[in-house]
Amino acid sequence: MVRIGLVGSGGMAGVYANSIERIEGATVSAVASPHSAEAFVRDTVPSATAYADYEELFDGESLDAAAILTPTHTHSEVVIAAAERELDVICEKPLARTMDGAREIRDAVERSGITFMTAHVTRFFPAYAEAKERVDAGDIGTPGVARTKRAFGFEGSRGWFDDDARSGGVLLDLAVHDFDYLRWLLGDVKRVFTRRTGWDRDGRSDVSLSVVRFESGAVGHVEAWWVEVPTVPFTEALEVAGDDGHLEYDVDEVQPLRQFGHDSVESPRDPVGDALPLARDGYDRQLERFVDCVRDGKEPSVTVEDGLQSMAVSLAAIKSADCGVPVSPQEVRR
Amino acid sequence: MTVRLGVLSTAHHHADLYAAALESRDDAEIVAVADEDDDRGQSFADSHGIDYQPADDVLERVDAAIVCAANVNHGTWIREAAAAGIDILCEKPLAPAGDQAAELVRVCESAGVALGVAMPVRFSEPIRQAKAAVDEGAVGDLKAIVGTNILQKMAAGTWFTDPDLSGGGAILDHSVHIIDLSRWITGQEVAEVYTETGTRFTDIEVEDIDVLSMELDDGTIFTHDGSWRQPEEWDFWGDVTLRLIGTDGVVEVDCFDQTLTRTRDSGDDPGIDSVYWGTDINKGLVGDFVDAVANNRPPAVTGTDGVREVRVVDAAYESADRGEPVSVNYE
Repeated sequence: MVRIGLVGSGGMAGVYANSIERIEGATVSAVASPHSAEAFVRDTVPSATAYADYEELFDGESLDAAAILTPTHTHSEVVIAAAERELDVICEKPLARTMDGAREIRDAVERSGITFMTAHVTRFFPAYAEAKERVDAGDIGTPGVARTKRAFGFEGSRGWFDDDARSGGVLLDLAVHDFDYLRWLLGDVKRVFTRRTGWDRDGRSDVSLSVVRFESGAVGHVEAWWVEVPTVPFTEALEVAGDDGHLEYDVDEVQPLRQFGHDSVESPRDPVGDALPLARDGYDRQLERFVDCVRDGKEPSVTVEDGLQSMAVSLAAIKSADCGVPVSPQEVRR
Repeated sequence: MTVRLGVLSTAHHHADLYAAALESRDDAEIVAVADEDDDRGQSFADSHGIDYQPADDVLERVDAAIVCAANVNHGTWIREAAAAGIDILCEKPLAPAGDQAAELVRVCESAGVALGVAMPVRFSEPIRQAKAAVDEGAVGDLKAIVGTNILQKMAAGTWFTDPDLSGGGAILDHSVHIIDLSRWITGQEVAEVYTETGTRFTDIEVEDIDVLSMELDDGTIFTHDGSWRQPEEWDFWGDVTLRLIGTDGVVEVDCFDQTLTRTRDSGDDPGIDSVYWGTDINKGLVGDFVDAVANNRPPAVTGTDGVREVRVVDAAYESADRGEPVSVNYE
């Protein structure tokens, strides 16, 4: 049995707990959170033990691995504590809030030799995984232009996500999904040019449009935004044009199941909030991969270096938006 | 009155669309065509039941002319028509460069003729309703625009891919459509452009990637993808889409989403494709021009608009050369 401790009890913790409990041979043993661990355990994984402090969890439980689901700016301290105890780790994206934080994580992983996976779940979303396979199989020839979209509306406070100092805003928290996916699909990023606009209190509504040049010569357009307009549904889209074909996915066009009630219309589409009509969704696939790697000691397909490089694209985009010039990810890694 | 029109050059295939749209009107009559290419002009005349004549003869018979030449030849035809005192609707882009376009506006002004630029998408009903919604406050303060005008891959061997006739590739050919929509909806000019471009889809001498990142005078951010990049087997010729993101809402327009899905098992072009059934934008375009000529008013999109839009294209090419964002020079 692979025993996993969750650190954090926010939105992702429920998603992880449900996926892990579905995997044969894996279980959530314990959950640590300073505020609501007990309530979370009671509601979601009654068999687990609740801790207020992650170090107490690491020291008090016999664990194989830890899932780090805390606010971005705390990832490095928690990962370092887990690595010191030789616990394997899956860490939510983005890897860290700063390049220094990311390097601390990488150093801790290398020092300890633990199995470490950066949770870039988009690679495991079935539509995105299939698109990668199709491109690799040569179905569309040589890719020339790729476009991605990821956006949603919200209402009221979103807690630490609203705080740029902790989340890094939409470019680090949301666009990083697509920067990572496009790196995986098209290779290294040469430069990124980003425009960004925001409003509401301190820019909680955050809109970014990035133009990406890859080393291959391909061009990407990454659209990522969240706005305080509650009726805007979660949306994701991917388009890849090659010299011999084209692939397109838009969640707006995917409606395998709709329900019309007296008070609501429901069409599950958000991989975080909704139960999608899939036997295994992206989180299930990602966590199965992680559990497999914990069992046999293999290196996960999404490494700490991947997490660091994809984060560097986000930080380059932030710098580009601030300075008004194209920025190379290499420049922010220095 | 019935407005009598002539076509000056049919190098651009849109000439057929404009002629067909004119043929459906009671207040306009298309009477003759002139062309640089006798065979092409005669064939156009035959298919539309009009006369193929030298330009001087055409211009003697008409009130207005539609110029559908290759980009670099727009000026020659416009000068001839202006000298004959004939109002002009010119295929976009007005000219390959902003200074050349500005000179054509001066020529028409001093001749006292109207000069319009063909921007049919302004007459798209989804676009018109989107503009009305934005004007009524549907998005609050507009903050960001995401536009696409993605077309199928451009085959080699036509004037579009010959820089001596086109003056440029995808960036010049049709970025002006989305730039025009942005100017119309916002009332703002493009202040700055950053470009990523290249040629990756077919073996041609001009660029087929057209990805622009712009900022409007009021700080609205605005990107555009007008690449020639969809497969030959694509279900439609391309798209025109706009997403308008503001403080109170989001408006999304897909101008050509009103289609039938058609699948055929036999014939010349078997397979699946989309057949547009929405409002004909070309009828709107020619209707506005005919009305402008009849009533002696400027057309919806004037030569001056055309100049400003080509100035943005100038800046886009300069950005591609310099690898940095470039301010648009409207002087």
